Amino acid sequence: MAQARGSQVRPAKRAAPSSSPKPSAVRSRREAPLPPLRELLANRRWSLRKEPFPHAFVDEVFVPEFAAELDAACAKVLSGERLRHFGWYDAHAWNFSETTSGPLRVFITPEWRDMVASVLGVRVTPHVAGGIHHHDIGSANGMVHSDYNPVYFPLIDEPAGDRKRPAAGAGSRRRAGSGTLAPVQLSQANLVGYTTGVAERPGVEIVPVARAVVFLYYLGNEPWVRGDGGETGLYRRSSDPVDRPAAAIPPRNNTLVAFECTPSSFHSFITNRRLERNCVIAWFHRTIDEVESRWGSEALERWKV
Amino acid sequence: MEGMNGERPVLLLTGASGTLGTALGSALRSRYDVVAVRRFRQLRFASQLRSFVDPLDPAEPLEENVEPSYEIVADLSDVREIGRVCDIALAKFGRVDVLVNAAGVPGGATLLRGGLRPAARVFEINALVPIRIAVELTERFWRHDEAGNRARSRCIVNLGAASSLDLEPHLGGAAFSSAKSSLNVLTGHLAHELAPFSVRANVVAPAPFPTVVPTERVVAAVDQMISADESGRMLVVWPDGDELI
Repeated sequence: MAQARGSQVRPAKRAAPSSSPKPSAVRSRREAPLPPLRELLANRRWSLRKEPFPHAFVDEVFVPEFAAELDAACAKVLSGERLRHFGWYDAHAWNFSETTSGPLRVFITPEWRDMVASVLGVRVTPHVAGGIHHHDIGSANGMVHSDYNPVYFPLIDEPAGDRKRPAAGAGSRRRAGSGTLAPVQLSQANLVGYTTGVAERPGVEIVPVARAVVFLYYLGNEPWVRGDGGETGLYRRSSDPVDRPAAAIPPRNNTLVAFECTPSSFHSFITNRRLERNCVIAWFHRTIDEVESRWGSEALERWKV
Repeated sequence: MEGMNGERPVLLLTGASGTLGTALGSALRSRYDVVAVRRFRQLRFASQLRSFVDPLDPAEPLEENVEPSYEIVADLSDVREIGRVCDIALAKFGRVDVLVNAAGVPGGATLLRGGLRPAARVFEINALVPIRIAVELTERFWRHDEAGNRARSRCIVNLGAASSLDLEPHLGGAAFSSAKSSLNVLTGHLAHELAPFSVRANVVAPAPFPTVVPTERVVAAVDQMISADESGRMLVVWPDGDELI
C-alpha cells in the first residue's frame, strides 16, 4: 500500500542546498566527469533471479576504490545534510538533486539508468527519483508493497531529445551506452509533488509516469551477519508476513538489488535490530500508456494522500 | 562417469551454495545434470531460477548460463524435506547417478565454552543427513535398479574432514570433527549395505579449505572418487598430497 506523508526533519549540522527554481534535466557541471562505468564496475556478472519475482542481485558492484568513495560520500550526507523522516515509514531520506556532486552522481547518470533498465529488460523514460535512505537501529518493519505506483514530474523543455522517447530498449536488451542517451530528469519536489502530483508553483505542467524499476545499493553500513536484520525482504504475496520473506537481501556494502516494479514485486524493509542501515535507492519510470497496455488501467497502486 | 545412450549422468549435490558446493557445481555442471540443493545462501552458478548477465552487454550469451543446474531450496535437517528433495530430483530426471553430500555446519566453540550446545545440530547435519539422503534414494530408486547402478557405477561421496582422523585437538572443532568421524563410520556401513545394489559409498576428507588446501584439490578428489571403482574407502586430502585409506 502506498502512502505519501511525512514531515519530521532529522537534525543536521548544516542546511540542505536550495533547489533549482526551474524544471530542468541534469546537465554537466564543472566537476570532473566520472570515469566510464566499465572502469567503475567490478562485477560483470550480474545474477538474475526468478524467485519470488524477477530481480537482479549483484555483489562487489564497484571496484573497491570507488565503493570506498561512495561510502565516504554517504557518511558525509548522513552527517551534514538534512534528512527528512517519512512519518508513515520509519526511515530518513535524502534526495538526489541537480546539485548532487561527487561519486553519488553515478546513480543519476543516463548510463547507469539505462544499464540497470537494460539488465532488467525494461523500457524507461528519462525520469529518475531517489537518494539515500537511512534507518536508525530498531526502525520498524516496513509494509509489504509493490512500488507499482503512479508518480509525477514537471514537464521540462526538451534540451536534448524527446522526453517521450524511451531511454532504454524494452524486451530486447541492448548494449548499455549505445546510441544517444536521454538526459536524466530528476524529480523536483519544489515544483511538483513526486507522489501527490500537486504543482507547487503556478504554470508548471505535470507529467504522470509510473515507477518501472527500483534499485537499492547498500553502502556505509557496518559488517552484517545473520540476525542483524535490516534486509530487504522479497515476497510472493502482499499478505505475507514481513518477517517471513521468500528471499531476503542483506544490507552488505557494495551489493545491489534491482527489480521491475510490477503489480507483484512485493518487498519491504525488515527491522534492523543491531545496526543502522543505509542504502542508495532510486526509481526509473515508464509511461502510463505502457502500464495500461500491459496491466490495465486499474492495476496501479494509487498513493493515499 | 559416462552417461548412457547420450544421457548426462545426474548428480545430486547438497550444500550447493557453500564454498565447496559452488566449486563443485561450477566444475561438474559441464559433465553432469546437477541437482543443486541449498538453503540460505544463494547459488553462485546458473540454475532454472537464476542466470547471469553482463550489465554492459546484456544481450551477449554467457558461458555461465550454459547447462544450468536444477535448484531446490530445502532444509535438510527436516526429514520430510529429504524425501521431497529425492522425489523432485527423481521426478525431474528419472534417476540419480551420483550423490555428493557437501552440506555441513561448523562446530562452534571449545567444549568449556559451550561447544556442546550446537552438537546435536552439528551431528544431525554433518553425520546423519548424508546417510538419510542415501537411504531415501535407495528406497525410492537404487534398490530397484541394480543393473542400472552397476552399469552407471552409481555412487555416494560424503564430505568428511581430515580433522576427523586423529585425536589432536582442533580447538573449537570438537563437535565438528567428531561428527565427521561418525560420518566416516556411517559411510563404511552404508558401503557395505549398498554393495548388493551395486552402489558405492566413499568419503573425501580434506584438510581445511581453502585455507590449508586449495578448494580445487577437494573438487578433484571428489571427482576422483566418483570415477573410481572403490567403495568403503576414504580419500584424505592432506596439504602435501592425497592418501587413500
